[in-house]
Amino acid sequence: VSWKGNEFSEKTKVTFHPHCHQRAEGLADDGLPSGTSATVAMLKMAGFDVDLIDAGCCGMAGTFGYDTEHYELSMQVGELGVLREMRNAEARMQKAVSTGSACRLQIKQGTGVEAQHPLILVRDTLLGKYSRI
Amino acid sequence: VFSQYLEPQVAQAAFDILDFAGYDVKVLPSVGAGASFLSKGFIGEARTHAEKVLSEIKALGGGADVSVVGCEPPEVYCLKHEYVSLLPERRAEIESITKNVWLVDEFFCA
Repeated sequence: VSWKGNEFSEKTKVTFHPHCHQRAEGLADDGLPSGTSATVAMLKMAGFDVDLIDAGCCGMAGTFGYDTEHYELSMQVGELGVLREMRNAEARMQKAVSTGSACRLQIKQGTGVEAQHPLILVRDTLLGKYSRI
Repeated sequence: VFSQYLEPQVAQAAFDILDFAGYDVKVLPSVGAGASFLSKGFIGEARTHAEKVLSEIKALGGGADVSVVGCEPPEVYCLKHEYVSLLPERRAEIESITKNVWLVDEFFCA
């Protein structure tokens, strides 16, 4: 099965907030996409136009934002960039996506936007287009 | 950890794509690679967990013939980058395994 090469004709815009560990991943020795660039490449292969945001941490920072004493600070960090970007994405009718589970929870609680994991978008697009059933 | 307990639909999506592409997918029994232990400073627990994960990979014939993929960046990069520091006496063995460890997004682009 080959699904490389933008076989999908209908483009859908997504706004992508990568997980911090993913952003910290360096370039691969073989030059292939790694970390953030791999998710961008995967989404593009599935036909999506990707707006990659560089807005720092969402504020959840692992389990930091789950702590009662850190909640307010966590939300303030999110408001520095990520939460604003996700509200903008929704205003532009773009799908919000993030690879971080805690990031997606922070986005939902901070903005009401239901960000999705890119793998779900890719799976639904790929199998919807090429279903063998 | 999130994929096991909170958002199994993410791991299911990865499984569906890999299955669709014809890969034979086995799920490791361990939950995560130990990133949660490391993030809270439980180094001993992380080391024990790493040994368990490595045993499970080796039981599948780990090495050049087995690619290990994951959905959660902290877990994948914990396995890929931290295991040598946790178990330095097993460096050569770990490096032979971790050169085939990928975030599933990276695996799809390889």
